[in-house]
Amino acid sequence: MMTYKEGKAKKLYWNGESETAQMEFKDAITAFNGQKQEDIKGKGLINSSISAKLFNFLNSKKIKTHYLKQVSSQVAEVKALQMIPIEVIIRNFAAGSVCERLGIEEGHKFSRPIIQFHLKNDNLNDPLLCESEILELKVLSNSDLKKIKNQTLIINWLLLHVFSQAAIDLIDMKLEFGFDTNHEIYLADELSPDNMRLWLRNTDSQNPDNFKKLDKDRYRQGLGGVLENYEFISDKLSEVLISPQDNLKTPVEINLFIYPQAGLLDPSGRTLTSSSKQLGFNEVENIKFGKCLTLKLSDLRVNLVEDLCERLLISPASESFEYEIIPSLGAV
Amino acid sequence: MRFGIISFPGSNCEQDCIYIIEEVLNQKALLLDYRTIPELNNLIDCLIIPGGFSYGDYLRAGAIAKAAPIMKSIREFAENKGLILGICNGFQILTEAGLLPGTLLSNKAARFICQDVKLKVINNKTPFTNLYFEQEIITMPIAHAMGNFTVSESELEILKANQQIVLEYENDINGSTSQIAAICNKDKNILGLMPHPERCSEKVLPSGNQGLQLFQSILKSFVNV
Repeated sequence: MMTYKEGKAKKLYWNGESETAQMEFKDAITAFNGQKQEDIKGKGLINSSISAKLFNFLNSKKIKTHYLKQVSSQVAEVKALQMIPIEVIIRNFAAGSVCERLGIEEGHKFSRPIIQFHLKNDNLNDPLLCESEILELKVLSNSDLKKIKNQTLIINWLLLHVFSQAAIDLIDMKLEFGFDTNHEIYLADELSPDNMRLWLRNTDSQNPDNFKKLDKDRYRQGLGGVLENYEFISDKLSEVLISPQDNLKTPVEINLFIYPQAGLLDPSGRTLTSSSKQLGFNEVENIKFGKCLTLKLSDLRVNLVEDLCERLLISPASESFEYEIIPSLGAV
Repeated sequence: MRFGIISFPGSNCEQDCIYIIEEVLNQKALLLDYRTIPELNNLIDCLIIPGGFSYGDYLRAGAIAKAAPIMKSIREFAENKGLILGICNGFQILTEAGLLPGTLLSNKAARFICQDVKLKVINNKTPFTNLYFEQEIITMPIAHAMGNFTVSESELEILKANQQIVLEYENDINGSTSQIAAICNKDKNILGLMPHPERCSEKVLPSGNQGLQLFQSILKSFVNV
């Protein structure tokens, strides 16, 4: 198959038509946008293996991911997607650029996960994007942006709690998403220590602040032992994931917004509009009357909110809905 | 003939219905509790879902009643071609439950409307309207805030093609599509209407007694079966 794209750490083979593509993990390791670079023999193999384990786990949790199966030890078959040119970074603890940018100490635990976006653009050096800039650049619609944030929070919750079982803290990670031909959003790219920070929790009660970095920071910061630590992660994941993660739930609180459908008569909104004017608020041109519900769920299983809306909460003929997960870290 | 009348929390017309069935029609009336799952096929010949404000109209009128235990019995009764009459909030419950098409939105004027209205009988070939004449103009009272029956144009065509439109308002009362006041399902065993026939089934009443023929029609269709 022909090479479709070659990045710093991966090669993508795709013929431009097929519904699937192949993703090969390379031995190359780079840092600081390619300024530091070398080959570590065996890294491609171990990252491929870690990524496969994590994607298989997410697939078992019915998360929509591009991962289909392993073709060889270093090559995965994935769903061909229209990639969204955004890197989604989610942070549970402070490390890397955020420490400098916000003056926060490394290792600080955030009260809720922080989501940030970067535009994938080498010429501009992958700049940080705020949400209104994403909408302005028309990279994503508002509702797709909400969906990606929801997906990111769920994936983060699941991975955070899987690693936690191996006494590893998921500090932060970078995710990428793409659309399939039905405009459904899928998690893409890789899930490896190349794009997530993982710290081995210290069990030494004398030095509770001590921990060990297991991820690419070992290379960035010249700590050495990249391959050994990657192998450690892979082994720990095998140990944890050998037991089915059926008890791992995703408890969330969500805000659900119900809107009257555009074009339909909205007498309540119209009445409120005229009442506002009567009180002297002449600037009020139009009020649409919807509802906001806050739901606390013990497990946000796939399509739960959609099914609940369809069967009870909304009248599909006259209302539409959107929801957002209220970010939380839970007990880790 | 045995009539079952369901009482949901917030129903407020069940006693009126029982009165009409027992005192005016001299038939049997059985009050059904929404928390039960009775075997309706053995118990009754016609089910009435009365008007009121089930569950305080929380969420949407009729929306929460569809999750009540007795809905399982109602669906089985409907599948078995049992006669079901949904009056006002009962109509809203039937559309929410998907047993009748369309949806009932807020009145166009955003007001609660309580008045006698003139209705035109569009289809008199149903178990609920066989004693009326086609195109007959009758009077019944309405009392609702969400009676604006709404369907898409394509759904309206289906309703027309299947003769599912049973009553229409003579005037545009609440914004309903095609001024529809009552519809039935394709099989004609389920009728939903916003007007209250149980409030106009005795001569002594100011709204008259043109609702009585609706109940008598049910009786007639039962006897004829």
